[in-house]
Amino acid sequence: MPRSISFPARYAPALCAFLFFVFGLLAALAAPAGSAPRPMEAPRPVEEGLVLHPPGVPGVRIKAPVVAGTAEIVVNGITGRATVQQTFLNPEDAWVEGIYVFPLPEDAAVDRLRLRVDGRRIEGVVAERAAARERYAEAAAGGQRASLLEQDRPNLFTMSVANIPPNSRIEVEIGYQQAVTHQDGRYSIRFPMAVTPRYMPAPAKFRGVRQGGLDDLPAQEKPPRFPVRGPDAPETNPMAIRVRLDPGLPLGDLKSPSHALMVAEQDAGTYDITLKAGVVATDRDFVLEWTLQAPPVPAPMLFVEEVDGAAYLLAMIVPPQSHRPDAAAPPREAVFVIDTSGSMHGTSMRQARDALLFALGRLGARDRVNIVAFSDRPRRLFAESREADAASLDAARSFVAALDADGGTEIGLALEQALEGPAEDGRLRQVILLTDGAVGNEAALLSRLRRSIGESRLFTVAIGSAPNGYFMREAARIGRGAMLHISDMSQVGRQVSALFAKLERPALTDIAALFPLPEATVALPSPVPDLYVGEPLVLTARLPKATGPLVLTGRAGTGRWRGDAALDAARPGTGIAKLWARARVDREMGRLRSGADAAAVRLAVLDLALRHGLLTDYTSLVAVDEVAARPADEAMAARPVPVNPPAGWTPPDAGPHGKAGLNRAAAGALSPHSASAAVPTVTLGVPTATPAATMGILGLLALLAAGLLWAFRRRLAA
Amino acid sequence: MRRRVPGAAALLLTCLGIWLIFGGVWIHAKAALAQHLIGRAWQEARAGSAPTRPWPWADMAPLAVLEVPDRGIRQIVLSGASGRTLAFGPAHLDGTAAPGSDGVVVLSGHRDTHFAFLRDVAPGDRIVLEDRRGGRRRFRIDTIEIADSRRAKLRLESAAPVLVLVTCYPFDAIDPGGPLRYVVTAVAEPRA
Repeated sequence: MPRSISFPARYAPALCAFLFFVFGLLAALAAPAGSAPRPMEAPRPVEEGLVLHPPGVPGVRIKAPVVAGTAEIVVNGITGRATVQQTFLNPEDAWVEGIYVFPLPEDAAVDRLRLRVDGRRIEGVVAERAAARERYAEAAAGGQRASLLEQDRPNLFTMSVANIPPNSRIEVEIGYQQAVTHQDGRYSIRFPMAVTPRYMPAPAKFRGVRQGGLDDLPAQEKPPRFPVRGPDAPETNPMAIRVRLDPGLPLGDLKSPSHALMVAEQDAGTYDITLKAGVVATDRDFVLEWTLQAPPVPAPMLFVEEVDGAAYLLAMIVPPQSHRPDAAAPPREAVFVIDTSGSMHGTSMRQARDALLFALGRLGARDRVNIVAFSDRPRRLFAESREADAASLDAARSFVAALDADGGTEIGLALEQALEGPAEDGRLRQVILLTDGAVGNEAALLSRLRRSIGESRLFTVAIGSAPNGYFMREAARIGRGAMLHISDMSQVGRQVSALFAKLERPALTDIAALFPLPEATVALPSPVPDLYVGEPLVLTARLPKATGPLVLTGRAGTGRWRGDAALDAARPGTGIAKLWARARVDREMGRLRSGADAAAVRLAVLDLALRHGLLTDYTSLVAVDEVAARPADEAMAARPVPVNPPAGWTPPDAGPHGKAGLNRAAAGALSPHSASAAVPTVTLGVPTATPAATMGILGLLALLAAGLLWAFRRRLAA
Repeated sequence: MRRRVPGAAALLLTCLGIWLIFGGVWIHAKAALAQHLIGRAWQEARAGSAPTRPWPWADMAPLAVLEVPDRGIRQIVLSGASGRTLAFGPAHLDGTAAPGSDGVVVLSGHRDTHFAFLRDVAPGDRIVLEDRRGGRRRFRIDTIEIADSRRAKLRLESAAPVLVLVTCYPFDAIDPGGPLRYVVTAVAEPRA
């Protein structure tokens, strides 16, 4: 054994340690040398990494994600199938989770979510809400790209998209089924594009860390909150729309009260409709209306779809004109309830005033009238309704002229005042509610209304470019009235007189639908609601086989009405099963409001939703990419996507008459400041521990092993 | 020949052991040293308005000073919580309110270096945050929670100014990459 080899080996450990020590010292010295104050070339502002600032920090611009969308709606007869694409654009240099609150039609049966990454399509699945959220959160934390579509309200949804790469994008696609609306011979579809910030009578308060945040709350109690871009910020979230319309019968006229159109007729009576502007800001709902060159009494329209051995039917039947009673209207009591809350500020308030003045002019001398204006508190014109004579109408007109929008939206109290006590000498009391429905506590309001409505009828007039259609329709249904939407100033006269024509005439009541096999058939709505003039009867049903006669009966004034249709003549349709399931979900949820067992309702809805693949209050759609995209040591920040304020809407304390503080409870949700940074969250994923302890322990273990080996070697040598 | 194998292995293991121990010590040394260096940058930042970097290639700048008087803690808070920044001091989480503003300020720190003191704090303890303009705001610890970072999200919404200190949990864990976080929430005291 030559000594020359064992010599360096003997001293090497010491040498090694020495070298490391010297190296360490040098490294330690390098830092102080570098820290010598030296002028820096172009110092970066500290704020560069900060993109979302809380209120009260001036001079910092918000850089937030944008959602660009396209909607393609294929209308076939009386059903529509829409495919909405949302592209989430991340302008930041960091990984971001985009959270976008957006509306869809209140009767939409949402059944598809698709995630597109790197040219791949990942199909979403329906899962129970909590399970879907869990799967999404896990994927998000693991760096996988994922999307989650949740229902906040029947017409309001939240799309969360996780792990959008820095300065990049992720595309998601939503699909839903919708029925065409028919009213006074006009067919229409609505594609909502704006959400009016809602008033929620609950103070916002810091809650600290919660597992899963607000999502533990039931969906209906969670205030829908989303940032609204400031009035001077540029419009955001562009949208392009294309409708392929096959009306089934020769088309009469075609127009949109909301947007300018470009129409191209394609082969065989189908039309390709796009927006003249190409791309529009999502600040108002898109409405497309058309009529048919059809006889005044159109034949019943029946569509049937066979799914899993059952037939699903969609029927639209217009009661013939001759059965409409023309008898003089009985005297009635008209109580107008007008919303003067902050959200009505601007065009909406003007529309409501015009509509109300117009309505006052239509009252007869035998009628009685009263007005309740409300914001934080209701204010009555008269203590109780008065004869609609010249003096009362003058008082009413000056009351209306002085109305101004400010404060909260406490609809509940106002409606209770309007519905107080019985109507005098057996008159029919008709309550006409004019509002944008900017409320977040719909469920509570509707059950309150259900208790107080009594024999009165409630008609809702939806005002503004983005009213809460779900609330207005449900309130009118509970009040056995009708809903009317006014979106265009030039339509106020025509639409309000149409509504009053309805109010003045009794409707088709006690409607019953008799199917060939009643025991095996589930028809909706059940019971069939009263029909007002110009409204068609729309039924969906699940039945064993689409054959035999469908008989409809009803009472029109003093006479009886009977209509029938042959189910064998039904044309094949698509997506009807989903529409039926959606209508059943609606009915189950309605039972919940009238006090049914919550667990039973949940089970029934879950069964329907999972069977038909639908998005509901209890189910969400989730799509997860298997590949992790974000490195584990980079954080992801959650960014609510700011939305456009609805056209004509002004923030409550930005208006000329606005008083800061009046909208106290809503301030958190509505004030433009906090709106620009509403409920952002951060993940806590940044690792906050060093491997120092691990390294120390491993180092000691290594030294111990070395010592043992050394001893072993000595023993061998000895 | 048979004797040389254990000898070489012992040599290697010794080197590795020393390197590892030195690395561990170095992490702590860097943490302490950096705070000292940054202290100087802080003085400059306080004096002038331009943000100063403690050393030319540093990708962070001092933002605020965190003090826990009862524990004798005075640390300089850096901008941008990332693995690199956190080696030098507690850091401000991007996207949360800036120190000194009315909102939820979130600071992260390593559980075994700068924020090791958090294991000893209790609700009611005082924390002072001094921002770059010299404004001092007093906070009092309100709640201490343990959150799972895979699921929990911190809501950046509050009526009163709130300071949240986040570090890894448990404090004695060997694995530095665990999912749990120790979240100390302090609420601003009304100004006297």
